[in-house]
This record gives sequence, C-alpha cells and structure tokens, in this order.
Amino acid sequence: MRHLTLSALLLLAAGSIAMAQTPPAPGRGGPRPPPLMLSSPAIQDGGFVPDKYTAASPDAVTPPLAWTNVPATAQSLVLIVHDVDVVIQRGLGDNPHWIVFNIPPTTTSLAEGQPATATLPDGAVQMSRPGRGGAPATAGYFPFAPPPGFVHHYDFDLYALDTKLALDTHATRAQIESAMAGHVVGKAVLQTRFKR
Amino acid sequence: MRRFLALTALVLFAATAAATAQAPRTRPPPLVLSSPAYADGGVIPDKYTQKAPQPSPSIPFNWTGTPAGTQSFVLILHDLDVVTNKTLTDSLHWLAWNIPATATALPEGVPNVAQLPDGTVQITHRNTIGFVGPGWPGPSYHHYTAELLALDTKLPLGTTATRDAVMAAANGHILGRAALAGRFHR
Repeated sequence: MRHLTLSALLLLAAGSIAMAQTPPAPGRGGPRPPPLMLSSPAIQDGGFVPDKYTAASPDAVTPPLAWTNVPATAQSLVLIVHDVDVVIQRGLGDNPHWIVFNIPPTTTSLAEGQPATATLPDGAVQMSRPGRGGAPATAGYFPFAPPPGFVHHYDFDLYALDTKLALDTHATRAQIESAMAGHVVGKAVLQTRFKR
Repeated sequence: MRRFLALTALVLFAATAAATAQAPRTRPPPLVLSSPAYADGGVIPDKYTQKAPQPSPSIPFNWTGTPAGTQSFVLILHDLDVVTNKTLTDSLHWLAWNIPATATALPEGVPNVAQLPDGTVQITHRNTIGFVGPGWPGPSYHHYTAELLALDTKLPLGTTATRDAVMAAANGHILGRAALAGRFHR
C-alpha cells in the first residue's frame, strides 16, 4: 500500500516536470500556429526599395510580394502599403500608396507589375484614388515619391480576415479599415525605406 | 512717356516673375528620428528587450529637424505585428507625451516614473509605467517601430490617459512625424 502511494507520488512528480517543460499554450487553442509572414524577393525587410518600383522610374511597377502561413480561418487578405512619415492636415492619417482587398486566402503572392485595374484576375480589388483637379480616379499602386533628399518609411501590412469585404474599388481607406475591424485573424509586416 | 512707363512696368513684372520662378522652394529640413543603439531597419539589441533582466533600460533616441511652432513631442514604440481582439490595434510598448519642444533626445534608461521632471508623461500597454522592451517569443521577427510626433500644442492629459486618448488629442496638431524601424525576436 505504501508502495502504491509512493508510485502515485512519483507519477505525479513526473507529470509536473513534464508539464513545466511544455511551453504554456497561448489561450485555449494549444500550440501557436506559425505566424503569417510577408516578404519580397526584391526588397529586404528593413531595406531600401529599388528605383524601379518608385517615382524615380518613369515606368514604375508594383513590387513583387509573397506570403506564407495564411491562417486556416482566413476568408480574405488585405494589403495596405503606406508612407508612415507623412502628415496630412496635421492629422494622424498617413498616405496610402496601395490598398488591395478581398485577396483570396489561397493566393500567396502578388507578382511584380500588377495592372492598374479595379479588379485583379483572382478577384482581388484595388482601391482607387480620386484624380487631382477632377481627373478620373485611378486604381492600384501609386509609386513612392518622398521629397528629394528625405528618407521615408513605407510599411507593407498584410492582414488576414475571417470575412470578405462588401466594398468596391471606390471605398475609402477609412471604410476599408472600419470594415476590417473585428475580423483580423493575422498580420504580417514588411518595412521598407526609400529616398530619391 | 506712358508707353515707356508701361514697358518698364512690364519688364519689372517679368523680372519679378522670373525671380519667383527661379527661387528654390524652401522646404524645412525633415524631422529625423534615430537611435545610437541600432540602425534604421535593424535589430534592437538584447539589452533593451525582455531577453535582459527586467525592467530593461529604455532605448535611447535622438532627433533633429524640430518643426517651427513645435510645443511638445509624442514618442510611441509599438509592435506592428500583433493583432489585438481581431482589431487593427497593435501592441504598445512605450508612449511618452508632453516631451518638451526643446528636447532633442530621450536618454537610455529613462526612469519608470509616471512623470519626469521635465513634464514628460509615460505609459505602456499594460497600464504600467514607462518602457517595456520588445519580447516577441516567436521564431521570426516582429517589427517595432518608434514614431516621433511634433505637436503644435501640449496635451491636457493626466498620467492615467490611455493610448487612444493621447492619439485622439494629438490628432489635428501634428506638425511633423518621423519613424525609426527596428526588429526583434527571441
């Protein structure tokens, strides 16, 4: 009988050690899934953007992007590329250069040189910006153009959503972000810089 | 005589116009944020992170190009890769506001007190006081961006203000903004 008690104690102790060695599971979901990751074959994380993707080139094209580990619950992806060193009318809002939403969760890249169309072949929608002085709105990528001599930071933020957005190319950034809130199940960032 | 005057006026006008066109657009120097501890876009050294004994010293920052009319600065350090409750809110590591307009640096190891002698107020995301270093335990880098905002006002907020309250109060008063990108994982 004493032998049994000792065995139980040993088992208990062994169990405690095993539990202590297991990393604590975040939340209730068991081990943490691999994080969503965003990269570009053309731009190093934290590095400078080559001229060909910027206003330094008369024929600027969109930079190539690729991502991995889209969460299983994702219904769509959103890409927001923005200049974080800009101040517009003394407000917090910075300057979006490229917003693509309703990217299918099965898509894992955006090749270099996306067309300036409202919709991409896989169904993704590119936000439009109103033209200056009454010019027609233009969809897609607006090449980086910081003032000459200034280094600006351009963040590429990729979000995984558990929904699709009921919005079209004329939606504003505020409308897109408002529709995203409450549905973000993953985020990945690529930070870049550019100077003319 | 009248024709001569008219001609003179025209010549003067043309000369003035040419001078105006040729005058370079004077843009003030940009607000630039840097750290002696790491390069822009680089990796934040362990001594400022949760890898070090806690609390770790705060990251030192320097800045140049304070815009004319600046009354105070806000400095925010946040982890861009974190999602909070499925929202667009990321993870705050340090928020200091009412930094005096005359300041050009935050030294390493700012004391963890709610208000510094110069009037600067500081919080973090867990409503603790002061700097909390990067700590992402995952296998790949998180992006910890430091942002400096130059404001045309001081913020009428006490030491219990939240991040949302500080940003809302700053909105509409930003004269300049500068980012410094950093990365870290354990």
